[in-house]
Amino acid sequence: MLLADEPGPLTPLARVSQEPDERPTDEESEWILAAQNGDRSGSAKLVERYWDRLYRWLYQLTRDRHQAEDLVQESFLKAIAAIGSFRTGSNFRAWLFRIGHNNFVNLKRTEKRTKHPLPEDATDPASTGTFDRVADREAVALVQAAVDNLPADFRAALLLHTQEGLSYREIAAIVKTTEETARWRVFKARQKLMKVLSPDLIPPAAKPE
Amino acid sequence: MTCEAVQNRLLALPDPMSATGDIRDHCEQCERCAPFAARAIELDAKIAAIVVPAYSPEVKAAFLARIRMVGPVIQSVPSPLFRSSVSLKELLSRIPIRPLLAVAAAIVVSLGIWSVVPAKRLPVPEPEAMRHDLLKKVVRYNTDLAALTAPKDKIAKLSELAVDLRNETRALSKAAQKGEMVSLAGMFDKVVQDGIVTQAGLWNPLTTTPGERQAVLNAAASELIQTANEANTLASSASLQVQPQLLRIAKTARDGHTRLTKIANGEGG
Repeated sequence: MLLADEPGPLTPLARVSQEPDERPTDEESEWILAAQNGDRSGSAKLVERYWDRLYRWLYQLTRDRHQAEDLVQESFLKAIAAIGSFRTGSNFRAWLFRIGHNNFVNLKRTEKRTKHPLPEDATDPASTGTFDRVADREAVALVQAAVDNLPADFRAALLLHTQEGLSYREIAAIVKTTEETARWRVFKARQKLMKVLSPDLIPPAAKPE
Repeated sequence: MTCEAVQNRLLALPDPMSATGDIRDHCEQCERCAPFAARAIELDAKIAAIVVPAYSPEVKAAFLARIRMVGPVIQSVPSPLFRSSVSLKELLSRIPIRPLLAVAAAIVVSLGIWSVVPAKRLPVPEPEAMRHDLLKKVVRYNTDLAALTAPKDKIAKLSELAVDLRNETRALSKAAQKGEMVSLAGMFDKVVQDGIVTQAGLWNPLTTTPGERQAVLNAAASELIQTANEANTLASSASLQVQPQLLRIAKTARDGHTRLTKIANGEGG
C-alpha cells in the first residue's frame, strides 16, 4: 500500500494489494495507543497518515472539494473523540472510513431533506495525473466519468476495493452491509463500467441492462 | 461455458488478473473474451489512477494544529467498584450484610403499617417543571411564530432564535456534554435549514419591495456568518467531545448564509 505524502493533485495509488484484512503496523498501533492515552501527537500522526486517502475517497463520493474537506475533518474529530472505544489490533483505516461513510450518508440525507444540494466541483480529470500519454489521460478521464455515473453505493464499494485495496469484508464493515453484498456491488460496478466503456466486447445476450 | 458466464466470473474475481482454470483457458481462446479480460484488468488500473483535485493544504495544516493544541482528553474514569483486580465475590464479601438486612426489614415493616393504617395524607407538591431559559425562549418563539403569517416576519423571528442558539452555543461550548451539544446543533439545523432558508425560499418577491426583501435577508445572512465564525473559533479551543457539533453548527450557518445571499441577490431559491 502506498500513499503520496505531498498534498499535490491527489493521488493515484499504485495497484493495491488484495490481501485480506490489513493488520495495523507496530508504528500505527503505537500511535493509536498514544492517542488513547490522550497524547495529541499520536492523533496527529494518524491524521497525517490517512488524511489523503480519506479525502480522496470522500471527494469521489461527494464530487465537491469543500464537502470532502469538511467530511474529512468531521470524521477525524469523531474518530479521535471515540478513539478510546477503538479495539486495539483491529483495522483503524476501516474504522475511520466507516466513520467517513456515516458522515457522507448523513450529509446526503440532509441535502435531500433541504433539497438544495451544494454545487459539485467541475473537475477536469484529464488535467493532472500520472498517466503521461495524452491517450492514457483521456482513457482515465473516460473511466472517471463512468465511475462518477455509478450509483453512490456501487461507487463507494468499487473505489474502496480498487483504490484502497480493501477486502470485501472490510468494505462490508465500512458501508454497513454484508460481505456478499459488498462483493456483489463491486461486481455490478465493474459490469456496468465494462458495458459503458467496452460495449463492443459484451456478448449480445448480456447487453440489455 | 458461455462468453457471458466467463465475463461475469472474471469480473467477480477480487482481481481480474488472477483468473485461472476454465476462465483463463476460455479467455486465451475466445476472440471476444481475450480483449475483454485485458480491458477488465486495465479498468482496475485506470480506476486506481483516477486523480482528484488537491485539498487545501491550509485546511489540513490548521486542522493538525488544532488537534495538537486542544486541551487534555477527558478520559473515562474507571469506577472503583469495578476495578478488574477485585472479584465479584470479594466485592460482595465487603458489603456489610447485617445492617442492610436490618434496613430492608424496617422498610418492609413500615410499608406494611402504612398500607394497613391509612394516615392523613399530606398533599404532594406537583413536581416543578424543568426550568431552562432556552426552553422557555423556544416555547415563546413557537407561540410568536404561530401568530405570524408573512415570511418576512417569520424570517426575522427565526433569525432572533438562531442568535439565541448562538449565545447558548457560546455558553455551552466549554461545559456541555456531547449529547447536549448534539441536541443544540440539531435544533440549530432545523431553525436555519427548515426555518430561515425555507421561509426565504417561499417568500414571493412580488409581495414586497426589492430593498426591503434584501435588507431582511441580508440581516439574517449576516447573523449566520457571524455564527459560523464564532462556532469555528469556539471549536478551535473546545474539547474533542463537542468539536464536531460546533463545526456542524458553523457549517450549517455558513451554508445558510450562502443560500440567503443567493436568494437576496435573486439567484434562485
